[in-house]
Amino acid sequence: MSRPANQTADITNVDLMHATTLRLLGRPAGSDGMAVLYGPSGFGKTQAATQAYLRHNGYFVRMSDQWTCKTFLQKILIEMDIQPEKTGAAMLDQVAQQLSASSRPLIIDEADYAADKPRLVQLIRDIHDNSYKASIILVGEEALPQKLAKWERFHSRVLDWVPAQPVSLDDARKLVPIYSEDMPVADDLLQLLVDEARGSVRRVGNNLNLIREEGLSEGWDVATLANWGNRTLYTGKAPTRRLP
Amino acid sequence: MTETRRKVPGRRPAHLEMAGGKPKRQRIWEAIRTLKEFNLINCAHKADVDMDTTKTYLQTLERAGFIEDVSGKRGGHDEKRWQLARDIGMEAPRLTKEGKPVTQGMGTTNMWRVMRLTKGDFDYLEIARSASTPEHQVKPETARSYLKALHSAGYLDMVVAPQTKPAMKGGKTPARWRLLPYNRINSKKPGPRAPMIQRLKRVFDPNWAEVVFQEEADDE
Repeated sequence: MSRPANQTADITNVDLMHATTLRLLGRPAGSDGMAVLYGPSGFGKTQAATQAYLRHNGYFVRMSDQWTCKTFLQKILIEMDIQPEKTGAAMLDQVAQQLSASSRPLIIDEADYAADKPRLVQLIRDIHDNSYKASIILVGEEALPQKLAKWERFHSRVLDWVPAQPVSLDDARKLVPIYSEDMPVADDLLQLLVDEARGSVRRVGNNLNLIREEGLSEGWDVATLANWGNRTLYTGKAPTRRLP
Repeated sequence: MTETRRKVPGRRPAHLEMAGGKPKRQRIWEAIRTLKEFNLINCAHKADVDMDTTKTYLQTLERAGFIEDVSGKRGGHDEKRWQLARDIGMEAPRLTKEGKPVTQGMGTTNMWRVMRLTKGDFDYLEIARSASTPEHQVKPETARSYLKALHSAGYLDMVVAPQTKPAMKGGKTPARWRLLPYNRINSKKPGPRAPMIQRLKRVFDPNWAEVVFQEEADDE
């Protein structure tokens, strides 16, 4: 099956993240360089972070619960393609030096895992403070700002708190050419998707896939609320069986 | 996490070194960062790269403003002294002869980046979608052939085989893939630099500086 070239969807959160990164990178010398993107899962935070990573040629690490300070530094250095030194202090220098020299942003996904651990929070602050104009973006769940509020000295260095936005009808329209470019979807059906999605971009995407398949096998010209009828949508609650 | 990177003995201090295999230009750039001020000969010597390559790259770097001539002398490059003017960190600037940034290979780089950070499995459409940026669109077909090559070269596992859907006009759901934590052929951990597809369907991994796969060797 051949499909036409796809395009990128500049949905709200991708735009937000892009703008935040630009603001961090372009901030005046001397101001702090951390930002936090937070929101419920499924809101497309990671997708937005990925786009910022690609567009700004950044460094991307995804935190894990198991990580210690040392693993965290090693992971960043591996992403930077730098041979890690032996000690934590030396690795911190390496990371700070590379961030300063390259002025590429460091994006830390699933930062919640760090937020619970005082030493990791401290370490991220150290990376920030030890480098010149480094830009660090933390991405995490809805409660991330509250978790970080405990660490006053960290909290005060955050330039931007960016709440991820729930998926909108406008976003849904932009997703149609990507998920279902050979099956147009009318606004009334899109509105239903947005209402059912409870903010989640992922659910809208999944449902557009579903609609496309259904529409193609039924031979619709355009998928509307009327011809969709009361077929089941993917709501993220429980898997539904769809009989042929 | 234990250190999985190969150590190369007899080189410059590790903090000024990139891990893995190093192209000539990278070696020259690292030499420049170490020396700060240099001429053609000591730069080529430090980098252990031939003079012609060094000279070409230095000219390029000068055009792009990464290094500047401090000798004030006119004429041959053998006479000049340069100094590092704009340090952008460990990674050597990728430039064309005219001193413009190289964008070739961005699609591959972005696809590889997306694959490395995807948690579960993926198909080629998803990779093309996530790896596309406004500046660099990745065509689904490009993604498909890249995934295919990576699979032959032992990086990927097929999680779900492609399925035909006769009910649908389009016909097929694509195969779903997963990036293996270790390459199937040489058991090495995939690195940050994207494996490259070379002529004759060869797959070269710049992280390990080795050819992982060559089509002739394949029996399929």
